[in-house]
Parts: sequence; structure tokens; C-alpha cells
Amino acid sequence: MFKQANKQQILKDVYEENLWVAGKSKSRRSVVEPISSSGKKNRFLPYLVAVGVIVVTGVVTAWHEPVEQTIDNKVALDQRAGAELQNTSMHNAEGDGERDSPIPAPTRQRHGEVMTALYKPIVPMQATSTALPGLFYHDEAQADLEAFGLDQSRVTPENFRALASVDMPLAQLFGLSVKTIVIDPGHGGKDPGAVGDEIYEKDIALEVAKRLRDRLLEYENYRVLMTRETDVTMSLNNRVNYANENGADLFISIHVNNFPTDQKSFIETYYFGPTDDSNIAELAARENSDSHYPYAEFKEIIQKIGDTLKFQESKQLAYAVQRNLYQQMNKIDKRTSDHGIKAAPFVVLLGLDAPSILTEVSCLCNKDEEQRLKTSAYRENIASFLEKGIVTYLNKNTRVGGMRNGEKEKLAKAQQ
Amino acid sequence: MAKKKSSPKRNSKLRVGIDLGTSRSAISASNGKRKFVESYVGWPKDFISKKVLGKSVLFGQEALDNRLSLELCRPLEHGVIKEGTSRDEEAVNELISHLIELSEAQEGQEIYAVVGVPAESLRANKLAIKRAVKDYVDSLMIVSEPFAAAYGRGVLNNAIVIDLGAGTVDFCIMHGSMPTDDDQRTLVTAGDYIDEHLYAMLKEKYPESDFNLNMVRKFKEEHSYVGKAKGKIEVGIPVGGKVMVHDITDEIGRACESILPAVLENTMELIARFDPEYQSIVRQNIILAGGGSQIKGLDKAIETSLKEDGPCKVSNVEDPIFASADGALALAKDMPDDYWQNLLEE
Repeated sequence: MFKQANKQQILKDVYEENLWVAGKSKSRRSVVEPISSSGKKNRFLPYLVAVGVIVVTGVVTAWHEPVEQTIDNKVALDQRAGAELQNTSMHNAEGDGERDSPIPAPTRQRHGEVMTALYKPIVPMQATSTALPGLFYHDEAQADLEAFGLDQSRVTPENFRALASVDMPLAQLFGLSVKTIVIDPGHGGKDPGAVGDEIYEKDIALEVAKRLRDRLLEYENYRVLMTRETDVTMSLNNRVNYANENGADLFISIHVNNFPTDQKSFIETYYFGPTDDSNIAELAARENSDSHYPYAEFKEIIQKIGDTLKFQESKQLAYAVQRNLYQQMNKIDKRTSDHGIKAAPFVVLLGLDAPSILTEVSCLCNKDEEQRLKTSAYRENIASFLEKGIVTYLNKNTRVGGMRNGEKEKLAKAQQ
Repeated sequence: MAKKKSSPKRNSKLRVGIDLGTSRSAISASNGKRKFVESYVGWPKDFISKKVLGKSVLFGQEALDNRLSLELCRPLEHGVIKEGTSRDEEAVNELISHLIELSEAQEGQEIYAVVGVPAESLRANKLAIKRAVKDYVDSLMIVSEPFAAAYGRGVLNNAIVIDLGAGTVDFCIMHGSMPTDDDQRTLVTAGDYIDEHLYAMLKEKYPESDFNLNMVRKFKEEHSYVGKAKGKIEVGIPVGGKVMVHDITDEIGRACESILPAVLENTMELIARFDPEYQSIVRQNIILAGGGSQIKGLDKAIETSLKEDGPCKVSNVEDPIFASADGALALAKDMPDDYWQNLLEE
């Protein structure tokens, strides 16, 4: 990875980058020349986005890739933004009276664009003849527009500005804070959940949840509650009611996977949303099996799907938790697979007012992992990875961050 | 106001490095001039204000001091031109013009500028900055602020630079070549975030007291710390028209610490990007730049947290306000003439 610093090469690279920014060069050094030979970067190469077919009608084709594709998405955004600038200038030159109008994506808040790149994978987009030339939008963005009561049939400057603001985490936009965190250890009592070799999902979930609670309580800012603290049977709607009645600002349901057909250990995190994936639907059906919601109540609750704030925040929480879990667990066992974040219709997520996720922190189908799960140290590890993910989310998306008391003491010692 | 470039054939060249910051903007020039100004631009509200102030536009502290008579604008947000009105673009133009004027370029001198922007700025943001600057310079390059700071300090290999500004915290790893997008990070939980956090906490603690965000910013700049407070921090704030002493010790500490977890997390992630063999070297070479590096105890706090995984050394740049501008100037000076020629603004 390391080279001797070559000043002349650095200057040349700066120059070439600026040629690209100025539109005087088509290729960009950072894209065409990955710096690492260690392989870390190369994992992105297969995903390089095929973007750039921009015709007069403003049709762009991009590639749908998972969250890890941040760099490629960003490149695509850059390229698109550049094209939009040119298109906007052309549009203005044709006489709409605005001087170099800052309407489209180029002037969208940078953070919003980064968030878009992170959380809204680029999907095939469309532009109608009524759209501003060069303006493109995500399918998901249509839903955002609708949620804000805006006309989604036409991409207007007003709509686009509103959309740009939607891209910013709403919790941050409204300065919301998190005070109460409810942790839900999955299953319990008569319901063991996934069953391994002498270990049950309900026990692992409970112990990890307790350890996570203790870790979160070390922060000054949060009230941390658990839906169950012992091995008791608890219905899904009782869990939901408990969280809502206690004013949960965040809800984390902890589970352990078991797919006997798959020997690999994998982790995944869900937030509420519809799914087309039959495997996820099957998992949701299994996890929802003891829901006692009557149909009418279920229907009423389902209205909440449109709750943009909850949806957006849940997705971001899921991302932060999954990312930290995977990164850390992959260090312990390189064979651990990242199944990413997914939308799924779990009842335990649906009925909640607060941003909520269901995380499958481990997998009993892998024998090595099962042995590790039997140790309290490993359960502590998982709790710490969850803690890190939650705190990452809280620090990035809400007004309440903070440090653990232990860290404060360490700092204090260092100052003495 | 700086004159817009005019004649196409000129001989002498002035190279400048500009750090266009959300809170402060700085310029370092090859003629030795180094100036900074708070990134505020204000226009008199009416003809009376204009007559009283005697100027058609005011900048920086002077603008802040006279803000009641001005239409005040802070045109940069998270280190890029704020979205919205043409007034913001106009304000950036005025600010750049003012900075160039402060560099005291001679009549007819060609100006070659390197401008620092946040690490993860998109091409669109860079183009917006370029549009704002191009009327006042002959040739222009844009680089990331932490990279400029690293270059200026000659730290080109095995290092991490963290530039803590008002709008953004920018990270950049240096591995012997120009950093790519993947080597850089930008967080928006920076100085402004601390101000807002502190403001909210003080409002909650002292609901009757009369203060604004600008006052809170000053409290922070004067007293910011992480770790253990050296003593009580007391400030005077009016309550019902009378100034009273307020203890803000804990609030300042908590507000400043609020950015720390994200900074630590990103630093650790970036260290992990290096080859394991070199990570211990990188850990000894973490450099803090930008106004936020002046938070007392921040270097030690980062050092202490990272020491859990092995020895670590965090140092501050000597002159945080000018570190990026000086680095940008160093780049401007080292850049060969033919590169500049190929980037001449039309």
C-alpha cells in the first residue's frame, strides 16, 4: 500500500483532478487508478457504475447496488451533478430569466447528497417531458414527495428543494433527541426461538440485551429499558405496547438467526418496510407468529408505514448497527457474511411509534459461531458492537451524543 | 473591492492559498501577506445605515459588530456555498473579492489560486466555488482542506490529518500520494454543531437568560475543553436586562465532547484502512488542524482513547487558522506553470 511520497506525482494528480473538475478531462484519477493493492478498494471495482447515458429527454441509467457502494454512488452523483450544471446553464440560456439558477442537485446540501449516496442506492431513474432538463430523481424520492404532500408527477424546483431537505435526516433537521431506548430480547419463556446445540436464541438474546443495557446506561443521557428481563413468554404486541407506553425513542429487537440449510454465519438487520423477498417474508412470518393483533388494529397500525421520520431513522439506525456489527464480527471470523440491511414486515417493528430495528446478531447454523455464542465473553462482544452501532447513529443523527462514564473518567485521569 | 481580472497579458504572478471556511476564511499569498476574516458579509439595511457606516459592504468582525444595521449573511454552510438565494452567492463573491484584496496583489499581477474545500465535497460544490472565484483569479485549483494542511506541513506519508472546522470535520489519510475520495471523510458534527448543542443545553438550564448563538459561539471559543475542566467557567449573561454570572462548565464540556465519539470512530476506521504493518506508525502521526483543534484537551482525549489499542501520538498544527491556507499556498507555489496555464479561466 505504501509508496515513497512523490511530490511531483502528487502535484500532477492534483492538476489532473482539477482538469476533471473543470470538465477538461473525462477521466478522473481516483476512479481509474485505485491506490491500494491490498484488495480493500478492489472490492468496489466490480460495482463500478455504468452511468453517463444522458440524452436530450434526460434519461439516465444507473445501477442498483448495495450500501457498500458509497464511492461509486458518489462518482455517479458527481457525474450527474456535472451534467445537471451544464443542462441548467443551457436551460437558463434559453431564457427563463434566472441567472445560473441554483435549483437542481448541484446546490443540494452536500450532506444531503452524501446521505443520498449512503442510504438511497441509485436505481433506474426516469424523467418525463415535463421535468426540468437534466433533473433526475429516485423512485424512493417520489414517496418522500408524496409524504410531504407535494406533486410527484412533476419535478419542479420547489419539489426538488423539498426533496433536498428530505434527504437530510429528519431527526437532525428537527433537532430531535433520544432519551428512552427500549431493548427487546427476542422470544422467551415457552418460545425458545432458534435452537442450537444446547443453546437457545431466547437465552442469547436476553444476555446480550442485558449487557447492551448495562453498556448504554454508562452514558449519561439515556433511560434504557428492556421488554423482558427474565425468561418469560411475552407476546409481540405486549412488547410493542410496553415500548410505546414508556415513550420509547428508539427500539432495538435482538435475535439470532438459524437457517439449517446454510452453514455460513451471517448477520443482518431489518427495519420495517414491505418486502418482495420470499425468504424475508418467511422469516417475518416466523417472527410474527405470536402476534395477537386483530385485523382492524393491524390495518390501523399499517397506516403508520407512511411515517417518513420513523422509516428514515429506522433505516439509518439499521445501517449503523449492521455496519458496526459486521465490521467487528468479521474481524473475529473472516467467514462471517454481511447480509446487509433489509426492509421487512415484522410486527414488532410495525406497531412502534419510534425508529426501530430488528437485528439478527449471529447465526446458530454455524458450529464455530455456536461455540463462541456459549461464552459470556463473546456475548459481551456482541453487546459492545451493538452499542457502538447505536451510539454511532445517535451521534450522527440526533442532538444527543455523549461519552460513556468510563471514558469520561479516563479523560479526567489523562488531564491530571 | 478587488478588481476583476482584465488584461490577458501580464508578467508577474501572485500565488495564493485560500481556505474558505464556514466560520473563518484565510488567505496566504506568495508576497508574504497572511490575512483571515470571519466569513460574514453584511450590506447596510438602508441609506441611513449606509451613511452611518460609510461603506456599501462590511466583512468579518466589523460586520458582526454592526449587525443590527446590516443585512448579515454567512454564506458558507458545511464549508460549501449555502443553498438558496442569490444573496449567498453574491456574499461569497464579495468575500473572495475581499480576501484577494487583503492579499494586496499588485496592479496587473496574474493571480494563481489554490482553494481548500471540505474533504468530501462533490464536484458540483467544487464547481460552485469555482464559479464564485473565477472572476478574481486567473487560474484556479481546488483541493481538500486536510490535504492542503498535510501538504503544507510536509506530512505526505503514513499520517492522518483531522481538520476540525465550524461546518465540517474533515479527515484525510496520507499514504505517499494524493488522497482519493476513499481516503477522506467529512463529518458535519463540527464547531457549529457544538454551538447549537451548547445553546440548547444553556437554554434548558437557564430559560430566563437572554443570549444568542453568537454569544454562545464566543463562550465556546474562549472556554472550550474536553476532559477535566481546569476550573469553573463562568460567563456574564443578561437576565431581565441585568448581567448575571452563569456557570457553564459542564455544558461546555459536554457540548465539546459531543463531537468526540464520531471523530474517534472515523479515526479508528481510517487507521484500520492502512496495512496492519504500518498502523502503529500512523497512530504516532495524527495531526489536528482547524479552529476546533484549539479545544483544550482534545489532542489528549483522542490520544487517550486510541491508546487502548497501542501507543499513539496526536499533535496540533502550529497555526490552526492558517494551516490550510498555508498548505494551499505551498501547493500553488510548487505547481508547475504549464499546469496553471492549462487551467486558465476564460
